[in-house]
Amino acid sequence: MNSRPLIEVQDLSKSFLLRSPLSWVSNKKTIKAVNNINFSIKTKETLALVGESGCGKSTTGKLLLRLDQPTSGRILFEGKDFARSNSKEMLGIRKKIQIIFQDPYGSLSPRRNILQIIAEPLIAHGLVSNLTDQKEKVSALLKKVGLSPDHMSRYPKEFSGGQRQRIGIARAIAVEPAFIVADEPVSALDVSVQAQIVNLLQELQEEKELSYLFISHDLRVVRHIAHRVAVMYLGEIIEEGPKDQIFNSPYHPYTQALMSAAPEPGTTSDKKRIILKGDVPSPMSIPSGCPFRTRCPLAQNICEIEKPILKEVFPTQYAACHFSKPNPITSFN
Amino acid sequence: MKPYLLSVKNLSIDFDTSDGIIRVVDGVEFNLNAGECIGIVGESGSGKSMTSLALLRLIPGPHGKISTGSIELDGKDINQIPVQEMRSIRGKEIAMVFQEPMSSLNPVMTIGDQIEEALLLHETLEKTARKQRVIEILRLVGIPNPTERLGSYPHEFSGGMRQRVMIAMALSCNPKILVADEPTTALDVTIQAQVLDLLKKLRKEFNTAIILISHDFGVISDIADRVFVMYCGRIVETATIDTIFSSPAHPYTEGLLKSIPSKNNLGRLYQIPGQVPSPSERGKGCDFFDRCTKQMTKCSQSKPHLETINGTHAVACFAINNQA
Repeated sequence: MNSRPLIEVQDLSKSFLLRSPLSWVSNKKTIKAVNNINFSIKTKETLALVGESGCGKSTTGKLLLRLDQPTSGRILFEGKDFARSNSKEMLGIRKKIQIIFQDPYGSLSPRRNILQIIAEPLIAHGLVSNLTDQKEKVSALLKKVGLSPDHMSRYPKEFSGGQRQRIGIARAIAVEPAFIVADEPVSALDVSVQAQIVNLLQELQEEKELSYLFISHDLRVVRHIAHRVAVMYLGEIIEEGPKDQIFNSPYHPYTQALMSAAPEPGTTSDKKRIILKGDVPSPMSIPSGCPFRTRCPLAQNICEIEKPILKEVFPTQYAACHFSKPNPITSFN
Repeated sequence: MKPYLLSVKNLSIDFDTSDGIIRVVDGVEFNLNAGECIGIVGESGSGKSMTSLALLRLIPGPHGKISTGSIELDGKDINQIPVQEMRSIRGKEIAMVFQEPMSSLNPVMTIGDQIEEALLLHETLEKTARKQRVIEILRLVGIPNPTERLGSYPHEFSGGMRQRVMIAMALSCNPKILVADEPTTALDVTIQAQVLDLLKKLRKEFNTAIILISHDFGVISDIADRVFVMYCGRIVETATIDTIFSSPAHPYTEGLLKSIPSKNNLGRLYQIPGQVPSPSERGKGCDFFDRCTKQMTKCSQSKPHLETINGTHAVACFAINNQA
């Protein structure tokens, strides 16, 4: 494995400005969707971004493709910052970075056939010369993702959810990217179909030396596919580390709760489960100090005043908490 | 022997479509005792949601209808009773929690009024007593400051809180049976843990029987006593939770369990070959025939029926039943 990071994210933030629907009222609120996050991904590595709805994981994915403009921070691809690049420069970057979307129904145009859908990125990047060339490349891509090239003239409605996700994957790998953001690629799929797509993603990674940012709330799938895991809470990464460390000895109390909350098939309910009180606070009013303190079983006065920073708690495992200790009892079994 | 609280026999549901009549649920049978929790698990299109809707006679008409079978509640077939009488059972005897806490609440009614509605229909309580009861239920399901939240609208609640309101509404008249169709699918995992915990507590305190519909074996194994696996509208296997995980018998159940990533399943995931056949592709043979690892000639000729192989463990598969 190459040691130089392919993608590096430094102090990346994104705030959204909320205006009151009453235009004469001037109370503007900002939502800090992503707040000063840092991570890096090496070639052929999968970093999983986990967390609950609204924690900023999808926004982070969009920022990496510049589908949203970052408020501040740097995004480096092979050492070059493109957080402020113009659209012309971005065209070159997007050939290297692609995305697979969550919703296999909403992310394919219903009016275009499979050939048009998959050939579009090839045309946009000038990688095909004529229609015969297009058909040849698209049929090779379809075979690669396990679909029949005969299906080229069909429309998305004629395919099942799993097949549509394969089409989305074929479109993403069409331009031979080095890095793919996969935003909940299997969440909308049935269990048996999920297994097919997870296998396909792993095969493609092996064959094409791809790096993935795998955004998911499904911890079982994450444990299967990831090399490293970053846990987000209210726009911040609160723990990051190698997969085995995060699953076997999570350090941050939120990670511990998350790991213990997911019911595992085949285990009875006697499992010690940490049940957090209440809901995630609104991102419009993030608590002072540690963002997790309102639900944290370990919270003390200092958590309200001083924000914990990410510290190395184990070689290459980082957590942001004043008190916690690794807790192997509550880990994901 | 004590009679069952609910007994479903040979239930079939047909839909009249432009492609002809499609049977979405075919000969489903199960029994439920008071205070018991059963899980129905299956993939999209397996008929599990339609089965749950049939229990409340909520199959969307005019195209869908229960074509055969009976649903006996305390010995009375609720499929045969007049609509008026069914209304007195819905919400009172059998209540339902839907999957979508966002869209199953009325956005222009306060949650207090929505919960009170069921009490107005089914109970004869004074106004103040009704209000007390609503507050009591909201407290029970874990809504903080219930007295103040009575006047809140659904949009003022988060997803998990709305699901609690849905559960509160279903519980308002102390139903004997709670049908929960994917109650935690739309929720985050820490909130899911809270809701599952609540369902367990209700079962313990009020002896409510629960029918839990889910696609997630994890959720089912967390709360249910027995599980029914559905495939293409039919029950293909039923067993206790422990048995289904330790010794699944039907090739479909086995494949499904092997395809779930877990600690001991870290290599390449098992893939069930092929796809679920669409209703028009289903023939006279076993619906799993094309994808099955244990197929025999017999399987393409007729559909296997559920047969007991061991105690409460029953399976619909010729390959298994012939050996047993």
